[in-house]
Amino acid sequence: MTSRHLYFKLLWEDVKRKSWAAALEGLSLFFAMPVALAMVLSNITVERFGEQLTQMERQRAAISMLKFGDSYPIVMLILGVAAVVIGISVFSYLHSRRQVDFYHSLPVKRETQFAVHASAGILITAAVYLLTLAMALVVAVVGGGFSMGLLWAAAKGYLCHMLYYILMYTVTVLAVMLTGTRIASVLGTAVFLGYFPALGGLVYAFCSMFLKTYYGRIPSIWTTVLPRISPADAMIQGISEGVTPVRAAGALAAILLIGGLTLFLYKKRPSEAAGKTMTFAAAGHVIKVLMVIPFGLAGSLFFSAMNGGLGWSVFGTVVGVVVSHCVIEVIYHADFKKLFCHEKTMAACMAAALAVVLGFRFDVLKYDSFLPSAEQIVSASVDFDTDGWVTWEANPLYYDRGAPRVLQGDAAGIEALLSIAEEGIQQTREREQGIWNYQESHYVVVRYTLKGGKKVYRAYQMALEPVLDAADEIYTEAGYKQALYPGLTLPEEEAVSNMVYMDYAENVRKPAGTQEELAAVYQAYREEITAMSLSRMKTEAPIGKLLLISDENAQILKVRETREERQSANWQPDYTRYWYEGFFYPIYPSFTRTIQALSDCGIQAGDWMDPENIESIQVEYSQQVEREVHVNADGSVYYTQTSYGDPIVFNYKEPEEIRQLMEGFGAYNGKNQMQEMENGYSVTITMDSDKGEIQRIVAGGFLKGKVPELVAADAEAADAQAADTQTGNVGAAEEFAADAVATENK
Amino acid sequence: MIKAEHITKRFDDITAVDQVTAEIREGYVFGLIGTNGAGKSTFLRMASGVLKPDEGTVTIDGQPVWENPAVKSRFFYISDDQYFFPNSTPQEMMQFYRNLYPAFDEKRFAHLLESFGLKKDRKIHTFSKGMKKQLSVICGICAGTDYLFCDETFDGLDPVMRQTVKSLFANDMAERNLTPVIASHNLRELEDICDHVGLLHRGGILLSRDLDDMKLNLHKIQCVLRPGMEESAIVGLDVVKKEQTGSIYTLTVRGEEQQVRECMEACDPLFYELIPLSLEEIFISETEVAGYDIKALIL
Repeated sequence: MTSRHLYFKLLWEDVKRKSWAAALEGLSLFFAMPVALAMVLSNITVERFGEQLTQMERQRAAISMLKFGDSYPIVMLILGVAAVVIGISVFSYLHSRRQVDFYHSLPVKRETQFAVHASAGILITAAVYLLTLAMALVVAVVGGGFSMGLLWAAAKGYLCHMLYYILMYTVTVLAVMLTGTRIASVLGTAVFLGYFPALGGLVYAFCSMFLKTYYGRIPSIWTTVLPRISPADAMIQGISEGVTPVRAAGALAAILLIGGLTLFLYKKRPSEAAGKTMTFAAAGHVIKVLMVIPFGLAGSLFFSAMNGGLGWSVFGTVVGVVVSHCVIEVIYHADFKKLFCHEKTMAACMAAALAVVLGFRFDVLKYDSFLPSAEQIVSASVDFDTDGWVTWEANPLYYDRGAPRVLQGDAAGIEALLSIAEEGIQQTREREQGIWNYQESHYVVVRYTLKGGKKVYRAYQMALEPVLDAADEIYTEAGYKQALYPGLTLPEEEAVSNMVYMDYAENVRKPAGTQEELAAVYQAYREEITAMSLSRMKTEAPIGKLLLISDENAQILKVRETREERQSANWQPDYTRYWYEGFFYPIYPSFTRTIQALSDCGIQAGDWMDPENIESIQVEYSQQVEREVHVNADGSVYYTQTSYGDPIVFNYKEPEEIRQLMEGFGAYNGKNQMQEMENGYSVTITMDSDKGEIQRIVAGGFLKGKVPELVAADAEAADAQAADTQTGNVGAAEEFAADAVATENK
Repeated sequence: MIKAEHITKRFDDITAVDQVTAEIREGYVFGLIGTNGAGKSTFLRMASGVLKPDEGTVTIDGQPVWENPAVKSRFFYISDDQYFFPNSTPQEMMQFYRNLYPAFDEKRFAHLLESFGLKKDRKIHTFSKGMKKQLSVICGICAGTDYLFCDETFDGLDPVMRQTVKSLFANDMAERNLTPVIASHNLRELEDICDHVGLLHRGGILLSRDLDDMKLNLHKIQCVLRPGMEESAIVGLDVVKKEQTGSIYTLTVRGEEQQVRECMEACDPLFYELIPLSLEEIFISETEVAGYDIKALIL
């Protein structure tokens, strides 16, 4: 008999014996595909969508259910589970001595045995899925008509689903080859699916928790590479972001590689491994070490999160190592008495885990105090975290990933930057020692590109006050400002054609003027924003915003709006989107040339702040009071914990009063991060509706040191009144203290 | 001929088979006997290509068994707990084996099933242990292979079936030169069927001889010495074991019968006779010599 004939005969026999798997999988897919599709199509009625749209909507629904993607991930979910179940099932005979004796005594080459069993697992799903897909196609054609798009979506969906099914399946079979019992195979599969992503997450968590200057938004091995070493992740990526040729080739290469490795292990696998937890003792030791150390680290992380003390961190490491090592040994030997065997390995794992934990905790590698010399730096940049009210990310339209765009630019003032970093290191130490004492702090990120091309990032939670001059030096660099505000480098025509002004209420107006007048606005703004320093930003609140966007980004947003328009019956063009995406830049009161140029184009920037447009201003003043009363041993009283009393409301309606108040006013909407506000004042402006203002209310406060005199006087009067009440409280406290001392003496 | 040369198999720190060398000639029944854990099953599993020896080789007519389908198609292995597909019937098992053993005799299979009273369409999992054993023997016989490896196959068969199977073996040996290799710890089962025995003990082979040779070379003598005669007067015998009950001495000795008789004649006891040894007694004697208290286990 030729081996080919034998292969097919044995394959058929094997498939027959796995008919239960085909039945279960077929039933699941039957309900998930043709039945579910029929239900969805039956809900798309002419009454809801009209004559013209119904057919189109049905086709769209059918395609979205049959294609591969996140529109209907149920099929992949079923196939993923099936891959694990069938993968373990087809080679489960390797777990039984009876069956191993039977199969391995047959006159069949091991390669043929492997091919028969491996292909049976794929063939079952391929056939069952094809059958249910055909049924779903029939349902789709009957319900929504035939189209090539539908057929193509189904065909592509079939191939992609099968690709990831086979990937999951081969990984499961690999786990079976390395294990000798069913439960060990399941655990092995879980390890293969989740080990590297979990390890990546663990390292990331360690860096975030123990490295005080770690900047986690930069792609690293543990955030980008390790999570990808998992078929489950590959599958999820494929589903959520589509199967590109590169992804498909990667999955195919992984299948071939893992398949080859699996065949090699199958041939090397001793028959006597049936019933043992691990097929290869050496692999078992390696896997144990690779599991135990991360478990120790995870234990440390857990207890550190619960209680930051070093002792608890060490306790968590020890517990993690001991428990995981014991559990693995019990699983390996299927004997509870083997709990503490291989104690030397356990001790070595514990030493390694403790070394990592202590290394992180005590910053052995001096990560947090890293400061290169100016000679080592090729280029550098810094993000002061002062412009977060608009978001400028590496990818302008997706601000969830990557470092801010400004970090890709270069700052000329390297010495200034290093002095900021040095101060950041110092303040980080002060924080650790509990002696940090500043009112404000910023998340300052520094990027160095060192000689050799290595990029190093450090993040400091620090106050900028001690290094404000150095920060201003960098912040007012033209090149730095252009990296921070990419709209400043737009071609003039492009900037001008898309330019829009947005007021306090997010009302949008298009400047009307000649090309020269509009260009003058752009030119003035570029110069004034470039000269804007962090020191000045502390005392100024933006009065309006200017849209500076490239044609490309404007088009992307437009397409996105159009897409949403199809999905929402209430869609309206909305420039707030541009605001949220970070394309509106702030106009400060000191930008007089810009304000004048805008005025020439019919836009009165900040005109809403004119007293004529304001009906009244309400100031809620909350008195600062000391709540906690403490008694010293000598009977003296002192207070801690500042808090605020019940607000006292002052109303101002006179134009002159309003003018004075508006000089120190800063709106909460569009507030810049440097802007310091006076505590205890909440200002609500009620616009005059008779002047055509749409928004009735503007909320904000007073800039630091800019509380108008009349408000300060009113507040002082309120404080004096409250002081009388407080005197009574102090008297009561002193009586209480005297009693306490008397009781003590007694 | 099956030839095992210095084969060794270890399971972790246990040496199951240690440097065993044996030859199994065609056309003879080879009995593999040994105590529990002696390595009989391990030897058979290596001979059938299930296990790979850590050392040494197993060959059939010079061809290695390991990973050699052509050689493996020359034998059929019946394990001590034969596997049948879940929910399968004898008919389905026959169809499976037919794909793998070209000489599989379907007609004979059907005939033997009928003779043994087994229904071809009945689910095997409803069979008794003995019926499953019968089925596995029928499959093995009908596979048409040159060798049949049986691991504790007679265990579970009733005496009638045991004799029936033995007669089947005898028939196939006569008709097509079948060579059964039977591993068992039940000595009585092998006594009337084996031509050659391999005696395994603690992983090593104690002896591998024709049964007749073994019987001819080990003798039990019962004798009564003359009054005043000392035990030391019996000389020239290779005494393996000696027992005394009153004035009756029971000696187990090695050597040819004629030589033993001559020695006894020369000693001139009051009475002596040679009693034939059963295979069980031979086995006990050999293992006791090796320091193994076999009685405690098998008697």
